Amino acid sequence: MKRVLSIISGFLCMLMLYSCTGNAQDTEQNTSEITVPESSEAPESVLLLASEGKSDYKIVFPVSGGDYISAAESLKSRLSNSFGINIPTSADYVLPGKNPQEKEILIGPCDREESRTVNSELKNGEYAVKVVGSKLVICGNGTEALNNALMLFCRNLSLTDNKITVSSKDDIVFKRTFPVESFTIGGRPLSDYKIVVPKGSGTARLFAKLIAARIATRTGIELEITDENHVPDSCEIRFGNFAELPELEKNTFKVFVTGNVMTAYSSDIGGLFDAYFHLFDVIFGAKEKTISIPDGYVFSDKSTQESYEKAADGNIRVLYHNVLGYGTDTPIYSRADIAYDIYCELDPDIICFEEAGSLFRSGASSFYSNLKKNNLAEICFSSEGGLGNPIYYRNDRFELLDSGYGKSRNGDKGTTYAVFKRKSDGKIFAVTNSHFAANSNAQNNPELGNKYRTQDAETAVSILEKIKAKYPGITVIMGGDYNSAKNSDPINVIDKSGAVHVRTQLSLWSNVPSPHHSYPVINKNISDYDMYSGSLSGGSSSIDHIYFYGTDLKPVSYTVVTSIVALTTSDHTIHFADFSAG
Amino acid sequence: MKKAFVFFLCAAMLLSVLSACADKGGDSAETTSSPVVSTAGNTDETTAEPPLTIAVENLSSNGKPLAFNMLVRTNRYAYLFCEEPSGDLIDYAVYKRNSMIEDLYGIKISISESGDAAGFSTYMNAASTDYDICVPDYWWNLDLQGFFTDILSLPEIDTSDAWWYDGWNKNVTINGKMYTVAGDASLEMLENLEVMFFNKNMAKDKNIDIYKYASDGQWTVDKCLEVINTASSGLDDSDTNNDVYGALYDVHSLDAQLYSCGLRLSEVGESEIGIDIANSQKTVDIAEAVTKLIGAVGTDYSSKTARARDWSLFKNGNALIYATALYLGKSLKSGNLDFDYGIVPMPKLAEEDQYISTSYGVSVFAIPVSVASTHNSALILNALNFNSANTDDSVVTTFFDVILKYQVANSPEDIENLDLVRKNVYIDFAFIYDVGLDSAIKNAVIDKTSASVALKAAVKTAGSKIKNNIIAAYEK
Repeated sequence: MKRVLSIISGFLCMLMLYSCTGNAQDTEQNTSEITVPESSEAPESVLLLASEGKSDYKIVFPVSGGDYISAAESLKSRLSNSFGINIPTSADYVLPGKNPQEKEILIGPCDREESRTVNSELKNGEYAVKVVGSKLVICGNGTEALNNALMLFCRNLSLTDNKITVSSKDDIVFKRTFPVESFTIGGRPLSDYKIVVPKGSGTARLFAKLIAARIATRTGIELEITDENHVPDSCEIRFGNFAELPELEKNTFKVFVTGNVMTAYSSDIGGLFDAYFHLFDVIFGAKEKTISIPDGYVFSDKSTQESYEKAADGNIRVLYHNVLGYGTDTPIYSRADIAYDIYCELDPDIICFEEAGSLFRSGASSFYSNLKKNNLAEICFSSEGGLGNPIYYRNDRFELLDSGYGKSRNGDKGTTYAVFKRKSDGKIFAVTNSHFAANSNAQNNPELGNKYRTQDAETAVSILEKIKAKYPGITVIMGGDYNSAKNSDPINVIDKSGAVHVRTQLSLWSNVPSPHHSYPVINKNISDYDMYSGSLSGGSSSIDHIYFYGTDLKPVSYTVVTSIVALTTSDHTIHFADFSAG
Repeated sequence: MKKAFVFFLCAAMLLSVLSACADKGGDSAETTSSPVVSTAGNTDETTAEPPLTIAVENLSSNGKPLAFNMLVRTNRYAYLFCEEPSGDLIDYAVYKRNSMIEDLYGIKISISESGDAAGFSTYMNAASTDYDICVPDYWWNLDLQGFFTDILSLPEIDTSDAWWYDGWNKNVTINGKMYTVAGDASLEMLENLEVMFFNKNMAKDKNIDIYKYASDGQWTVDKCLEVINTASSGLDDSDTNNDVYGALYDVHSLDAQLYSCGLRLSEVGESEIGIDIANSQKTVDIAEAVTKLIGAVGTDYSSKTARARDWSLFKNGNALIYATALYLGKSLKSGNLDFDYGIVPMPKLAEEDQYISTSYGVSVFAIPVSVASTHNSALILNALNFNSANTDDSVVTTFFDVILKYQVANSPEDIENLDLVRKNVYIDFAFIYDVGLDSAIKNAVIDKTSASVALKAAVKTAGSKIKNNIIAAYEK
């Protein structure tokens, strides 16, 4: 029990530390920003943008569209409204056999040499307005920077002798100072590096985004993130548990530099948080202006995160997870892919989802193909209303004997059930997966919600009775998101059925936290999720439950996965129970 | 109202339009009397031709723009109207085209929406002057209801101009009248071109080189069937979780497959529509070949339309080929797929044949008889189509050359295949007016029954349907 308490308190300390040190929402301010007129010895170059109300120029934006279209339109409007000059806009695409128009105002990172040259000099948040040959280049590193460049350019525009001209003497290059002025890894400048993650690892991909955002804030350098294979001699920050890396001691992580490759990985998925945090706080958070991480650098330590083992031989692991699929918490694929990484590590025999509705399914396509690749077959009664709470089982380990679905009323998410036979020993058992009504499914009326949930519990019990009658003697594992805490009316219905809560059986009500917690939070810098930094409540307030009925299988452990990575996947973390067949 | 005619010179548009004009019909896949749609913009620019002109007239009154309203299909007008520019390139191209027309002609474009034939009919029956242009689905056959003006009678529109889809329009020219018309503003013609998307990773794993088959001219129905059989697995047990299909088809791609095999159900002449060709030995051969393809264990055929069918099997890596329309390309590109995809034409019947494509349909333009000014409607309809494909950033160029070829296409092979698909488009009268021939052969394929028997019966009734329902309507 003491060990469990120390894990929770250790976890809370880590959360506090993470929150205090930035939570990767990097609020750090770069204190000084300066505007530098370009010093050039080249002769003055003057562009005649418009004369007598006409212009030979075209406003060109990157073919990716998006905010660049808005930027091009705003410049077009400004020229039209203020000076009555109509300049056409166009994407930077050049049809085969044609050449770009000579006179162009290039907005953003256009596919033109002139844009590339100017852009390459800009760090995060910096911008420039420059005359390059016959073209005017307006660009910024980031949407806000580009808007600033446009605003400044438009403010300086004026009509003289019925002409609008722009001179290279008025070039603007806006530079920022960053906390770190020089950064090398293995003797190579940080700007030469890219971040490489293992193919298909959602966890590593999200961490890579957070690391890239941290690097941009601290140094102004934007690094590419890729999952391509290692290219010899290329400078890489390899983040994640690549298959070829040597195995680490359990519950540890390691960061090391060999030549121009920095590698950060861990013994398990949860420990990747520590590898990430080391990069975030120690490597890229160092206070010095000049940082050099030498070839041969090595750091390794114990992970702050609990590690989770596969089920012992012969045991059956049943996992439940409310995946937060009914709302608009996007990008869904990001959370789903992290969850898949964790499932792979936990290797459950049965997985029960709640809230795996159509929004979740359409947002998490690779998640579903991965489940299938991992021999996880789905049992789902979508046409009857059970789309959100399917059961998946390892079809290489188990044979499906029976399945069905029940609900108590229209709109009820219901209970899915399945009866399995283990291929190795013929052991038969059943699993149910329920999602009881929330108050929001009952006109936000708690009384009506309680009534609905009680009905849902009665349905779950009726399914238990049905299975008991058809398959006497087998163990039925019942669980899901019951939206009801201990001692509530719905839970009392389950308790009276003879089913026993695994927490009761294992005396874990107070020591294992509730899987339900606050929502994962988006990091605006990366348009993706940040690592969870909220707190967890005690087990007695849990609304996610696992029960069992019968004596054929016995629960040997119940686990709520509290690694920060797992908490980022949903507002309900993963929880599972292992059953012995002895 | 002051009516000042001016000529709008647009040098940037000049060369491509003229060459397309000169090339009209030259890209035909076939030399039958059935016309081929010319959707392929020809960008040769070797000669300097005189500037192309279309008439521009300021329709505003006392500086106030004339309201110009289009009756369009609900949720299917993205290429016709965009109120404000968004970050989407097509939306932006539409916005710019319409803004330019508004400025040039002194009008303000708006839309009204209706979802189906009944809704459009109600509005047309009311004989309201609210709708200056009507854009219904071709399939609703509203041209037979007496709602619309004969396009060929309008001096403002010359349907032989390069911006009108000759191949489609000749099929709807009956008794010397044309009540609906398709042109470059009918972007659906391109969006709905049928192709085959395929999962490159799966193809590689199975050692199947579909690009090579296509480029070597070997991409036939038989080869496709061979590929389907090689790629499919897990379909012989009750567990649907391990199912892998060779190909997915729907009701539209089945149609496209038949025409890609060279199906010809009708011949449109100056004064008659012949359908005897429908029941030929070639038709029977095509039906038998496609029956094997669609009926294969490894083929998942859905009786739903292209837009309605569930394509999660392909999305989730459980199907090698997805036969569907080009518009899906944008969804594939943005779909965060965990595999690469390629694009090839629909397979043909024999190696010596050409690849032929078809478009599964289009919303056509029509001018209601009840409009306030037929002249104004015709003028703007002409301008909409003229300005849809003539510049490097026009709606058509943006969709085909930028979105499809530059963004959706994953390889040079895809780009070549897209050009090939666009070049050889065939539309059959019997497809536009389903007088029973098109559905007869499709049903025979789906039901695995004799196409010969079905078509023999269908030809008998189709003749009277053409005469009594279609020609008669055009004679009124």
